[in-house]
Amino acid sequence: MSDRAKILIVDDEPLIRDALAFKLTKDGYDVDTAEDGEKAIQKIESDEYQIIISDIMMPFISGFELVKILKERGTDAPVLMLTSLNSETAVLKAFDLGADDFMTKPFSPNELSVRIKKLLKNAKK
Amino acid sequence: MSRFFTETYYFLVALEPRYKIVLFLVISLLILAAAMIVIVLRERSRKNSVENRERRISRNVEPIIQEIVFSESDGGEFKDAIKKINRIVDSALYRKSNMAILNELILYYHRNLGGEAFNRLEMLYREIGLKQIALDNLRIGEWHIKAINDLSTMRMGESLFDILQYTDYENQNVRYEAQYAAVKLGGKKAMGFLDDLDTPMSEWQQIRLLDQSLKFEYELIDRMGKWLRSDNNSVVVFGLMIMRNLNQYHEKGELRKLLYHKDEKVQEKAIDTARELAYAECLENLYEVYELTKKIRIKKQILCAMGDLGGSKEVGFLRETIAREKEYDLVFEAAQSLKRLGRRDVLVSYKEQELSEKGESIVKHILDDRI
Amino acid sequence: MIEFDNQNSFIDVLIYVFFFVTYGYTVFVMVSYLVLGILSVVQARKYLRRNSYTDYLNILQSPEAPTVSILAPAYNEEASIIENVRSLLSIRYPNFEVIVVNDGSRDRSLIKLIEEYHLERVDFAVNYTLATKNVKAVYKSKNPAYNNLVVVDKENGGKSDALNAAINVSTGEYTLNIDVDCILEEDCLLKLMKPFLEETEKNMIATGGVVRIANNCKIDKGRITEINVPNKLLSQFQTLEYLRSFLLGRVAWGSLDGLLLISGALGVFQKELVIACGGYDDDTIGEDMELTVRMRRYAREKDIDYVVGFVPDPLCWTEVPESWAVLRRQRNRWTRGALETLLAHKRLFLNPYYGKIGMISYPYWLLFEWLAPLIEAFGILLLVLFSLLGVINISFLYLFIALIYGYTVSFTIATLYIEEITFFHYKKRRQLLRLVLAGLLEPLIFHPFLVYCSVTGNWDYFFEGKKAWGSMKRVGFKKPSNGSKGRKITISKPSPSSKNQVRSSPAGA
Repeated sequence: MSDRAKILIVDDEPLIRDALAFKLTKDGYDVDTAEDGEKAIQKIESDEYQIIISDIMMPFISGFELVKILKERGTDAPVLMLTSLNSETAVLKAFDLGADDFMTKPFSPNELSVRIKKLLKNAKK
Repeated sequence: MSRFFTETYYFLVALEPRYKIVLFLVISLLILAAAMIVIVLRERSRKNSVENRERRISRNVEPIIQEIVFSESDGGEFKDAIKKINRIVDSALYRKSNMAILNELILYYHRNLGGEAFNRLEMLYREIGLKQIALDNLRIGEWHIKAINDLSTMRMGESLFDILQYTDYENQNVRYEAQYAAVKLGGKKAMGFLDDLDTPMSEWQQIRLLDQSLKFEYELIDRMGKWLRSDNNSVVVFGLMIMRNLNQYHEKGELRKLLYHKDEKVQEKAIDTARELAYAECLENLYEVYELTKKIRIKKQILCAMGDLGGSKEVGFLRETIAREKEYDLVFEAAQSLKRLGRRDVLVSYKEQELSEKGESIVKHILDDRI
Repeated sequence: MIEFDNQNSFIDVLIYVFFFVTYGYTVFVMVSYLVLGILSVVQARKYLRRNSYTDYLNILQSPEAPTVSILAPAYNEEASIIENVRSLLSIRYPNFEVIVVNDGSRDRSLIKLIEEYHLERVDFAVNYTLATKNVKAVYKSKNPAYNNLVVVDKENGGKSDALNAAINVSTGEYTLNIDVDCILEEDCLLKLMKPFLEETEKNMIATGGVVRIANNCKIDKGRITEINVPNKLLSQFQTLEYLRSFLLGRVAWGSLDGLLLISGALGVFQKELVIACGGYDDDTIGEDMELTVRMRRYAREKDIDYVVGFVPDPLCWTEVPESWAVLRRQRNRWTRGALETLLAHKRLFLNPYYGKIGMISYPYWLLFEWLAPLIEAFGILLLVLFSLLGVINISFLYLFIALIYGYTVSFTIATLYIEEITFFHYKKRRQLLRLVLAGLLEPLIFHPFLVYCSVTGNWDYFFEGKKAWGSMKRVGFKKPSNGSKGRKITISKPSPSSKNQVRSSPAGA
């Protein structure tokens, strides 16, 4: 196992997924992607991730449900919600369900990098 | 062979006119149907080839865009990348449609990304000539909307002046798009067109404009008074939306007047705005409106406002409403407001006194925090 | 066509009149379909052009978006209820609630819902604004992820009753009324709400959308992932029929604001108005059409300057019957439902007070949707009779029938062409050719069958007294109810796919 942190990106839009993967790989992480909540859960079961970045509006299992399921299972990895929903209710709901950070689209990739670093640092403690 | 044709010919000539007509129709329909099938199939191959081209272009261009957007490449690399992209989209026949594909791709990224990546995409958009295409389209009637939309999506601020002249355009869709673009590109200052807008804005348009306005830095919008005094109800409603969503407290006097507005929608929005801005000084007016109006929706809205603005006097009023009022919705709203005022005790004691069955079930409903 | 015979001139005149009427009627039908078709194409293209660059994100994150309640009545849906509710919960819209009404199911629907969504009973004060059967309990989820789900458990009362109960419990300004077994497009609510938000002059009271056929499509987790043409010929016929009906018929009627039917499978309504006009009528079979007509009437009578919208985008997918027997029952029911509504609102007929719907839509439905099959059946019977008697010249008739056939086929192909240039769903060339083939066979096989269903529907309505759901209703299958003479037992057998079927008027069929 490498000591590079492993990140899972969950988003139903392929372009976003690719772009994120490109950016984070460049930042020096191991990146894995999933196109919906269910696939994400499968991946998390078989592999260990240090951070999960998830969209909210996805078919079938929404990002909200995904967070809930992960937190119920006691997954340690922090979850960062990255979504085009930017209403207050969405933010509240996300944190209520156990999300660790929240960013809205359009998002700045650099800001995302910084937040990921911070989340990883906190997780180590 | 030729005999067959001559015989057919004479047979046809000898027919009664009505036979001729119907026969003619049948044959032409068959030809038409066959022609349509052929067209459909050709259209299909054309579409397939477009789709394939689209896939190929995105596959090739995507990594280049990613490289540009996500790395701190210098000017030279930037130029290189543009050359590469140009080579991909270049084609004698399809250049126009290829550019359109590229356009959509860049727009898509731009909608989702912010910060430095965002600026780089803008640069790319300009350098590769897409902006020029959009500006050219702006002058061609059919493409107004698309062009305005693209230019504003890509935040081509320098095109604001070109776009502003369309904010009162006769075609509604062009007008809407231009208004939206104006707000997006020019911010607060470009919103002057609202001052004397005669045409109604749809709710959809109001929501779009608001969505843009929410991105402003907080600042006093001093022309808001004009909007609230407008004869155009849609501008008034929009003004109220801005007022409450951007915390514009300074036109409270106007708001107080709007509580009495004769249009139900405006009135409802005004009451709700007073509630959200915690404008407690208008409670007296709300009592007055409550007595004046016959509309349940307005009364409901007022009771709801009391739940945020009220004090001990309103607690009494709400309690009274629960006991006296027959309208389900009003009782419900009053109970909910009491709960929001933190007076569960009033509700609980009401429940224990069992004043009316309906009131009681509503109070129970409200006290149930799971709902 | 007529051989005049001096001895028998009365019959000759009669025959002459008959042919005159028949030919005239046929030509009239053809021309009006053509007009509707052209209108639709214009409308659909306009819609597509205008919406190709719509960004729904603005509304998706707006704090000012109106609230919508999704109403999903369910009866014995245990097989699919969990998935269907899940797909409803993941619809794209900023603020909505999902109200599932368990209409006295006798299977484990409710228990499954409770287990899957962690439901618990709450003290809900149900306001019976619209009279319904007793609501036994209202459930909410303990899980905050499902805080916009409400489940209502009530005594069985039929689909209308369930919808009314859902309206009573709902809090939204608008309601999206659906069939729980339909598959909705993710964006369907955004697209259906758009006309409401765009209207500036009139009061929009409802919008409908396009229903398409899901048979043989690939469905994954409550979403359509691949669109295919059905395998069975019968479903292919129905595919063509739906295409014509929605793509050509309804889009055109929508643009004329003359829709009399918003399909029960998919429609957004202004709740205030639905309540004001009394909600769904639980005494009728065609509750969706009845409500649409009643709302229009109500609005007109209250002097509300109203409009009914229509979204040409395909937003909802449904399974259609794959057996002739089930289809026959479904069509029989539709016939009776439409008939019942038409008769209940006969005041509209050519009544200028009601404007377009009185002067155009209603007469159109009467003449084409209801009478056409009857006239056709009658005409065919007479023709057979005449030719047996040898009183008519057959050759022109053959030619005329060929014309009708040619017209129908061209019309079908034109529909496929329009689909191709607008929404372009059937992407595989072979499947398209299969549809063309089905189009060639349709007038010979499917159309006569529809005429038959419609005639028996009329017969059942007028002579067997099968007016309301009553005798057809779910509870009714055990014992044949009033007015039935034993022969109906076959008709009222429980049929899983027939109970909540979508109605699509075969306008343009």
